[in-house]
Amino acid sequence: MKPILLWQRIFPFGVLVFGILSGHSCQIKKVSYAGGENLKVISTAKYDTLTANLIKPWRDSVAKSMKDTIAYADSAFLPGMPEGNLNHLVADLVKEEADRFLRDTFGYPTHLCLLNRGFLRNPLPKGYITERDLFEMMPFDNYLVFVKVGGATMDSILNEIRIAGGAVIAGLKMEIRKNEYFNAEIGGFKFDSRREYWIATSDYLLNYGDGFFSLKSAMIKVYTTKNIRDITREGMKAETKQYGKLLYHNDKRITLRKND
Amino acid sequence: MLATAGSLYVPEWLHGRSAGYKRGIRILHTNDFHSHVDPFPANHPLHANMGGIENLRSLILDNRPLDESFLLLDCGDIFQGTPYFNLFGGVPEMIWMNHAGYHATTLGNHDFDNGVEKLAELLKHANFPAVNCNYDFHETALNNMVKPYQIFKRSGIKIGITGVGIDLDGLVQAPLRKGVVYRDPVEWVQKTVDHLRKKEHCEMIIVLSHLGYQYPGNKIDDQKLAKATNGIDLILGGHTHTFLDEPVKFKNISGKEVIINQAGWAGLRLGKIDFIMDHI
Ligand SMILES: [Zn+2]
Repeated sequence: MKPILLWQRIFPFGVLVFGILSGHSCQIKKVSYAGGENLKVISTAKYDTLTANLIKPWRDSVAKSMKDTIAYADSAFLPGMPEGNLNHLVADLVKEEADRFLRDTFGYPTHLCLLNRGFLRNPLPKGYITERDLFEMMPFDNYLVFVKVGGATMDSILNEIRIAGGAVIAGLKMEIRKNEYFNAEIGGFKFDSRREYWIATSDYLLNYGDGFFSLKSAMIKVYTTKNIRDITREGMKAETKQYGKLLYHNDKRITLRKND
Repeated sequence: MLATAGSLYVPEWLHGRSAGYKRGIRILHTNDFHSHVDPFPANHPLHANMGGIENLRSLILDNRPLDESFLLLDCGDIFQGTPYFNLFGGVPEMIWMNHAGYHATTLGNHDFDNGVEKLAELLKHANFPAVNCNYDFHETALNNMVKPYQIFKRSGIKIGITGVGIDLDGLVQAPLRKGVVYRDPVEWVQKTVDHLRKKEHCEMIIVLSHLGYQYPGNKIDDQKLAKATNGIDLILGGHTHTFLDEPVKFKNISGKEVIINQAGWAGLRLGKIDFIMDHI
């Protein structure tokens, strides 16, 4: 009867009922699944004021520092695989700034920009885009890096894009099937395995992978202190200033082909 | 009112709320919260006005039995995803989870985004344990801060809860996870479950997983873990941000039922699972 003493402490009101029950059955207990569901978290009539008050100082502070409008979009930008218009927007803005920076500093062009799909966490909404939208789209503090790779490494990277099933990419067009990529074009030219290429990417991807492990074997690596979110913000601001809105980049970059 | 011993007794709280002792256990759970304190904005293309901690807590309160015969659990990736984390480094998330009354969590890859030391600092503020059995933390600040398992008593049942994490290599920058050793999930979960069943005499086992729901090939996931092990009743998952309509049933290595569930991400879903007790 020792267990009852323990239950007594935990369930002072229920112990009598249980005492009777356990007297009739032996001590081996078995649990069985009795059903379940995943409930949608939506607003209800009962507003939880206690929680609202608890979080208020933090919420006010976030609202204050994240309220600035940085761009305008006349419809939403969605991330996707193998590609999405958000992937294209970010990759193009980063490649543009990367290309300017690399030319100015070292005199080399940037052939392509490669980031991972997981880098983009949320779509950009339609309408005025705030600092907060930018942070929720791209919460990570990743920094721009450049790598120079030979043809063999480039070939491995193209295969890694195929295996990942897509990427955030600018300057590259390719088609992928289950076991191969083909018709790869870099900067408008057919991929040439005898050439060398400059890739703009993130410190995260270079050092820690997310499937893109070939970047590590680059012949040259150039680190910068440019936060990719800052680059994206400036690019979005400039585009909105020039055109009144963000432009859509709807060109096909990565095309999935059925296996023949 | 008294059920006959040995037969299935459906607790009253399965049909509504009532006070007092009942022979059932309800599990409420979340995963991949990713600092989503606020609801998604009205112009969000996918989740407009959904989520948010006020709404999540209302739902928890509406669905939790009054007699404490429940557990509120999380499967990791608490942090990273909104400015709350960029600005305050995880403090509001910990305040929220304490306030909501979480009983346990496990660790996801993004919980390491500010490094092991910062994570240890945050966990000091948690009123609930973090559990994991397959990371070796001995060389890190998390040593003794993350437990291999935690045992709870609910409705007279001893429930053992352990956690299992994904290989951080390729996911978390090396300096941020310095000293953390990843060990085989199947081997260490089984070892821990055996200990909980045989030595601690647990009658129910829950695994909080941040492995992911399903991958092609032989990369370990929740389904493979369920099929390769013995003694687990329930695997709650995360990492793949999988939206399931309801929990899914699998068979373990001995042909016994294992339930797997995952509740989307960002506080958009609250998983609710009921178990009832039977005396053999
Ligand atoms: Zn996650």
